[in-house]
Amino acid sequence: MGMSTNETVITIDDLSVEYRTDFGKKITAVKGLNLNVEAGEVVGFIGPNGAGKSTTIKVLMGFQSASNGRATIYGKTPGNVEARRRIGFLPEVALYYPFLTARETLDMFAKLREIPRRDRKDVIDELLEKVGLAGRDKEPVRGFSKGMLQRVGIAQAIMGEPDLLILDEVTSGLDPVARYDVRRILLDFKSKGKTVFFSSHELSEVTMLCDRVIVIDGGKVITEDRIEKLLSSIRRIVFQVDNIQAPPKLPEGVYVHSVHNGVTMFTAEDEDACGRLTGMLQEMGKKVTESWEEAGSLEDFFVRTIGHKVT
Amino acid sequence: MEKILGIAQVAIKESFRRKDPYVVIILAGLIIFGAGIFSRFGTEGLGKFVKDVGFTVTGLMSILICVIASARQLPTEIQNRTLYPLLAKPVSRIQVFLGKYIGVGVMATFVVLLFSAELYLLFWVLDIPVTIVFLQAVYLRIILMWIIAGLTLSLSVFLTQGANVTISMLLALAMQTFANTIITVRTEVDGWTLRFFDLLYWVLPHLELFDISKREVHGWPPAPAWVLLVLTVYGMGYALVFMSVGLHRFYKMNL
Repeated sequence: MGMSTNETVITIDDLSVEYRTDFGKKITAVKGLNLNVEAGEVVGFIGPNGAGKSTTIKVLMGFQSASNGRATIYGKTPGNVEARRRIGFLPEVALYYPFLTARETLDMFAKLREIPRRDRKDVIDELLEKVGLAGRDKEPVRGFSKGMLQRVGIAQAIMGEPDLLILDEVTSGLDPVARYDVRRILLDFKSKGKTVFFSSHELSEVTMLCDRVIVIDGGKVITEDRIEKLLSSIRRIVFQVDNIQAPPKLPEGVYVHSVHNGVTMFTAEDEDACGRLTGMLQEMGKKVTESWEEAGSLEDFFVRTIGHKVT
Repeated sequence: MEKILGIAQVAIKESFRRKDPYVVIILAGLIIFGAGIFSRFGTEGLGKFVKDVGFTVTGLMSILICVIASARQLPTEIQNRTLYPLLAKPVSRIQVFLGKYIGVGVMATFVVLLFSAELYLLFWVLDIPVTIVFLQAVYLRIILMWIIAGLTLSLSVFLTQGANVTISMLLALAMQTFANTIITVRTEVDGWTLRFFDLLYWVLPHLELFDISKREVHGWPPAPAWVLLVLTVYGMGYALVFMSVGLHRFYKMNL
């Protein structure tokens, strides 16, 4: 199916999701959430653990009902079969069927994806090649590592060239090679003008892949903007100091950036933090050997936005 | 339909690759062939004993396999999150539920046929005569499996897997004996209690009707064809009721 431009793919209006725990306690996972995703966008959905990312995705996929508000995909209600024809979905952790081989698993998904019988073998061969499982297709999935399972997951998600990919923690727990491969597949998908909406804790991945980032916390959108705009808003000042042992408690807004061969790099979020850092160094009798200002990372932005709370 | 059959195929493959039917079939084989040893002594009536033990053991084992396989379908899918990618495809929850039901039903049918072949082989080896009632008993046992699969699959969206196996086994066995109990009890009561028991008698499914193995054991005549037809419709009706309740819940539940 082709991608149409200026089409709103995902709409979430005033969405709230409440549920009760086994002990009867009411939990509000999502509170009045609003967001839109346009066709052709790659949108990163980030937030701390328990922020409501997975719950929102579950509502979008029709796995969870909303307590209030509404969500639509391609103008259809979540769970609508017509909308699902245009979606590929990868859940956070899925074990798939341990007693099936990778090929059998994909064959089942191909039937559900309505891939014509005559095309199935070719489609599956191509997908296995793409996700690096060619040659391992006749092994039962039960013996697969987490990375290999995720490859099976990606293959089923991109099967049939969906217009929209929804991914929940796609690279969580993967080794660097698997992560590189996933990124390559997603970039390939992006280059075809498809839409991707994905949640992730891997902020470097989000930076590399996304056009736009939505930050959620406590079930609400905290901020959202284009990635380059977010990054340009974050500056950090780096101080290089030789032969110093960082004290147990650093001044507010000051972080250890890196330590290599006796050289410690401190970063300060703003001018005030710079003042506090230089004060600390003076007290310790240490001198800054070099300092410069540079663009911050999405991680810096995230930490400054969300703070240091334990989740 | 291909989607439903695709899901059913997974349920069938799962059951056989887990090998539980084979284990139970081997166990049942040991028990009934063990009982067969007695008939070698030539004592009168031991042929009936072997038939009775054979039917009873295979009946219980078939129900056990059917209940275990049906009870784990949806809870395991939810626990392992395999249901998520499945339902993300253009598939409705109804199709998933029906696919699971057909898968378990086909697997249970296959198990009943295997058990029946095992029994037939035993009777043939021991020179125990078999009549057409044997085939009728097998047919009705297959219908019974589809009813129990519907009951257990439906309960699986309300109960945990362990609780479901226990309750489904109890219900499946109790529903085969409750009719006689109610008939006995209703002679002792009157008024509203009597009406309650009458209602219970007509509302609850009479699974005992699906076991005509005693006809084969005692050499009674076969059941007329129309009885088999009525029982088939009756069984399908109850399977439909159980499935509708389960499906209604599955359709609404948060995953």
